[in-house]
Amino acid sequence: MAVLLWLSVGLPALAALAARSAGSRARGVAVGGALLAALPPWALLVAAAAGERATSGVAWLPADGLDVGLRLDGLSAAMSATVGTVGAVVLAYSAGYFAREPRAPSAVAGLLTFLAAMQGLVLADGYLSLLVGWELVGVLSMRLIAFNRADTAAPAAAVRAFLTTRAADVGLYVALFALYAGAGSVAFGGARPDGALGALVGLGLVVAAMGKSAQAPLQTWLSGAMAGPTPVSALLHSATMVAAGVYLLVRSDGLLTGWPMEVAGWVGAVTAVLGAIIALGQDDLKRVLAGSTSSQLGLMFVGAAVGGPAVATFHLIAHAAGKATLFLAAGVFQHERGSTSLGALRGAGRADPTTMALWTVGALSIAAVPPLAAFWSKDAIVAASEGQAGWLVLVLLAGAGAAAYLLRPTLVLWRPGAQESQPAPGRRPMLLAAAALAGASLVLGLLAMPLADLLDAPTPKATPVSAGLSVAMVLLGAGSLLVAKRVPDRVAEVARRQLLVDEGLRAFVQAPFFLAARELARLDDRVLDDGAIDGTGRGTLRLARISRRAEESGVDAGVDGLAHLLGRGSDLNRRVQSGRLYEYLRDTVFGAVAVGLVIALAAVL
Amino acid sequence: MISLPVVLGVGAVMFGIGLYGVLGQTNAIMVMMGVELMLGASMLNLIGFMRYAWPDAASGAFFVLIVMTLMALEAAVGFALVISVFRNRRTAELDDLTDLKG
Amino acid sequence: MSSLGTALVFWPSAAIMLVTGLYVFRTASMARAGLLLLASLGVEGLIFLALASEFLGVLQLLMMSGEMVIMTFFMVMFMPDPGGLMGMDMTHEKRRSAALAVAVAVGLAVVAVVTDWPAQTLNGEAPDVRQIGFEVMGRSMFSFLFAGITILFAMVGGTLLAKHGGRLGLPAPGGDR
Repeated sequence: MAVLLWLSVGLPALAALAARSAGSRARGVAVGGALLAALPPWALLVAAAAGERATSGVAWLPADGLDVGLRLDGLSAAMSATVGTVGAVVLAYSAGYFAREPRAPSAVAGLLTFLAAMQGLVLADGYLSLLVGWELVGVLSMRLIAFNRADTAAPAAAVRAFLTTRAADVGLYVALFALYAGAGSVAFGGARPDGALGALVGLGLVVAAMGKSAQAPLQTWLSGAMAGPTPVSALLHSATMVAAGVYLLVRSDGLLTGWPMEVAGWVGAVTAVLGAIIALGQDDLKRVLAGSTSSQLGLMFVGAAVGGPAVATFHLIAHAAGKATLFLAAGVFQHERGSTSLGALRGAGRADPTTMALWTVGALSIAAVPPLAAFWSKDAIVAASEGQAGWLVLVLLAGAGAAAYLLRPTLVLWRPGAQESQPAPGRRPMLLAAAALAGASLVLGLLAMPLADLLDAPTPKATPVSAGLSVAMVLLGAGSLLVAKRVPDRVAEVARRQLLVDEGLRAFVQAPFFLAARELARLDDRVLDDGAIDGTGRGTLRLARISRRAEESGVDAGVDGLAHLLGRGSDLNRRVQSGRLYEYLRDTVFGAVAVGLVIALAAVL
Repeated sequence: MISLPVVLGVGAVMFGIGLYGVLGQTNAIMVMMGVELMLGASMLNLIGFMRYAWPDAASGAFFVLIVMTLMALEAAVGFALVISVFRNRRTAELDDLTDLKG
Repeated sequence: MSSLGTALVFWPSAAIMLVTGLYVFRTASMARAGLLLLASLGVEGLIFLALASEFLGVLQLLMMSGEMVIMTFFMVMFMPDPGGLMGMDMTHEKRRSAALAVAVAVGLAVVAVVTDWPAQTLNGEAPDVRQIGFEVMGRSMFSFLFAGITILFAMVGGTLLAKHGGRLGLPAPGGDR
């Protein structure tokens, strides 16, 4: 069992090394490696379904209770299998996508490395090991986004993605410190400490999940991340990495009971609606999908808050299949038209019916049209949130929005366009991969009960009420779009600018910070430098001047005066030296008389 | 009737006269004469002491002897000096001999 | 001497002594001054004799006579106007010196009168010559020796000083007397 755990993480890494050094055969090696690497997770899944649980690790600081390692339980097995499967499919797709790419070995090796890190994250035993995987996927994502060196916008987008998620990761660090301080261990399944430490734990985890899963107001990085190659978008930014936030919430179920989960639920619900609005206003196909991802992840947050682990995980898996399908199809269109902007893609679907069919399957799933997979999973969320009126409303609105924002590009793809499509090289692998995921989207609806058993959690179920509401929302959304024909300009504008989050950050975070910095600098210059330090200098000079003046007029004058006095005295004394003998004699007589008087007085007294 | 105070009184007067001469005369030789008078007064006093107060002390007489010798010496050397000065300066007036003026 | 005899000699002698002493300084003639001084100091010798000091009295008379005569000779030889015929006034600051002299004399006299002297012997014998001789050769030998050497120095020094050209032996400048 331990071997399987380590193979799940190690095989993708080895495959990455092999692919990187394989030269022209890299893509083939990568596909083989990924398929091979998908096997151990499936074995783990089978074992976990049979009830087996295991851990394997090293004691890093045993005296302080810190270990690193991997574990096998229901949740980790499910996640690992998902990641492995989607990874293998996307790598198969990459063989076709990167057919004409000169740096293909680097690309596929990057994807495989990411896969290894992601497996490490979902199989982690304890928060410390999870943190390692968490950070690694963040760094690798940055590298993968900026893969295309010709794109000048890519590096900035990559850095933005990294910094936003990294800033949110502070929450994870704070939570871990607080957890360790309160409980003495960072293993899974602990209880939240009381008081301030507990608050830090809860808030920290929620903030970290928000950043990684592109929830409002930290959602802007996801749109920028679409500058990366489409396989990257498919693997990282729809199915796996962004889902890590949801995984964290599900894993920390025990630590987040009570108000932290409430916060997470609200964040998710609001983001679900906002993401949908953003998706409606985009002009780029991949950015529409990015907004959609944000929205769907918000739904997963709500699911984690109300429905329990199975509900959230169910939607995670179903969404992964459907969104990845959409991305893979979009990648084919991208190669055919040379761009992903909606203007260039007009009529691409009509020119390539196969891909269009695959696209449609994915769209139907994400839009929650029964009987596709994501319908069941999303409906479970609707059913679970029936107890919370606010969340229910928001979730339903998100559902309507999903229908609308997916219908819009679908119509663009279908409507006849003037542009010609070029046949994409490597078409077959791409189509095969997309078909695999599309097929999964069709059947994954059956996953609900097995998943609940596996996770030892309440079964996600759909009630007639929720099903009816969901379908109604879909129709409402689609109908609104058809009626309105186009999104109102004002809304589109705001949506395109990511609902002015950037402006908000600039006004509320950046501006005060810079103002404070300017004021402090001015304080430093005026008060400290000019005032205190220069003032000290000036004061010292003044003191020196006063001292010198005192010395000149006082001391020197005193000394000079004394000398002058002595000179005058000497002059007076000189007059005694008259040279006249008789005067000397007279003075002698005076002296003698004086002495005699003194003696006489002494004798008498 | 002649007692010690009388003798001393006479000596005092003579001393005063000698002093008048020393302070008041311009010529160096006249000053020397004044000194002679003063020394003579001191001799008189000594004799008075010897006669009236301490008759057994012969050292008083010896003292008088010494003073007399001094008088002679002083006169001799003083004269030699005056001659020397007179040769150079053609004057023995104290008012003209002010080389020691400071 | 009897007290009467002493008194008979003393008082007139004292008077002459003082008067001649004063007149030494009131005369314009240097020769006369020297002779007056001789008179004053010689009479003092008489007083010494009266006060029963024969040796010292005789000594005084001898010495003073020789000394004053030599002095007068020198004055006549070397001083301008030794006779005082030109009427130069050889005094200065007469009043001040007189005042000072009087003050000192009075002071000394007061001391003489006021002091409590030891028991006085009116008819005592002053030491005779033999005793003086013993004194000189005995206890006061050192002083006597010293005095002798001093006299020698004085003689030599005085001769040198008085010689033409001083001690350096230089020829006297022309025109010198």
